[in-house]
Amino acid sequence: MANIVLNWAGAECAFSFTKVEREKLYGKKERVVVDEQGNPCEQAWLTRDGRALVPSGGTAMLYVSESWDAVENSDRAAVALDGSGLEPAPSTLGVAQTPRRVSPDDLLECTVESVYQLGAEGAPPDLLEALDSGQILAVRFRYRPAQKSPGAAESELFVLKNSEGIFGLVTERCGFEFVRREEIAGADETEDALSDELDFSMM
Amino acid sequence: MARLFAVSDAKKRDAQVMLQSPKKGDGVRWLGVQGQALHVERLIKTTERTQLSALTAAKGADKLAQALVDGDPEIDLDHVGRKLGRSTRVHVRQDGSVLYAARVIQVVRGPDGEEKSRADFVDVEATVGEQHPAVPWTGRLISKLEAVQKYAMVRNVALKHVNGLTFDFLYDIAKALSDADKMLIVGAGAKGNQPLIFQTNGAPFRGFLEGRIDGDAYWLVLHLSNLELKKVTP
Repeated sequence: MANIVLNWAGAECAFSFTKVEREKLYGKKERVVVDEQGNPCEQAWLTRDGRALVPSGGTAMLYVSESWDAVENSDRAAVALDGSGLEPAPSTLGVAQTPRRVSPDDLLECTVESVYQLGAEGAPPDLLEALDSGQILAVRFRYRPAQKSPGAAESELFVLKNSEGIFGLVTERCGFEFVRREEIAGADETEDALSDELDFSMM
Repeated sequence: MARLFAVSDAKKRDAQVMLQSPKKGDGVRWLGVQGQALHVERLIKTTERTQLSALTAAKGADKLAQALVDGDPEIDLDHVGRKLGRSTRVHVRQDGSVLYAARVIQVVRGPDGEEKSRADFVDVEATVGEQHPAVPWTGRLISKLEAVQKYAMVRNVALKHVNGLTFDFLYDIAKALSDADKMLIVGAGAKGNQPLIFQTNGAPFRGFLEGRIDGDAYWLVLHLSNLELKKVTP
């Protein structure tokens, strides 16, 4: 797999990476439906007319036109909601990115989407020293190629170090702004980011 | 719909304020090669009658291969390609029959995937919300650097005032935290040491309240973490 590469003092420094997930750290709790004998049951979908029972994995998601012609993935293109074109955003894996030094405040203005444990076997001593001193670095990061609106903010990876090792935090900007007295919150304002937090895993 | 959140300050005053979520990015639309608008449909691919177990039971294991060569028993022609549409989620036993009275159990697995315990599932109630007491001022402060080095802030919500009084209330909290240049460790319960759970069976979080001031404006964000920055075995 391609590495996360930093351009540090003119030299490239590659980090291997492993995803840090709650399941790997804490284990998990699963909710299992069982029958009268305690045997696990599978989930399925019963159509509205009751004529078909569709097992898990028994459906397919397709892109279709208004005339119900199915379109292959390679034949479709994404555009912004206003119809304007998007620009390609290539993956940054294996491509050296120049980091900028940031403060904890910068990281706190973002939501962490993923965490990677970074292997820095080949990292230069001055980079490790900077991270040891509490320095946080931020680089552009995109795992997969995608398309984005021109001018849209890039995702950033924040690199930092603690007693456990070096970590890379993939983030998205929150976009919160300072609030003045006259800007009173409305009851129907914004979507609720906490509403889908149904969790059965261990804390 | 925005959430209400009750919080206390260092003087043990409390108020209900609004929680604001980050704005989501702009979505995209999909077009075909001729510029035609596309939409996603979920279609039926297979039904319980065409699963391997059902075909084996119907044809016999020794005759199934020939049946597949001779015809298309694996395709349910009555239903393949139909929109799934509004349907009901059900559970089926191992013999394919629908379960009418389900029992739900909770299986706990360790990081190695091994089962540790199993017991009847019990709902975990929310610990914060409109119906719950205000989250107390714990007085436990943590430096921003230490917090971000130890915890991944996987959710962030901004606290926003609902009237003039709550503006002053939140502004003062933000100023106190900004002056200290630290974050307040936040939790539910009388001592503020319980996880923050925002809905029944919701994910439990540790909370960190951060405040900033810019003249007569405030920025007060509750950072939520359920993941520590620790090494995992690859």
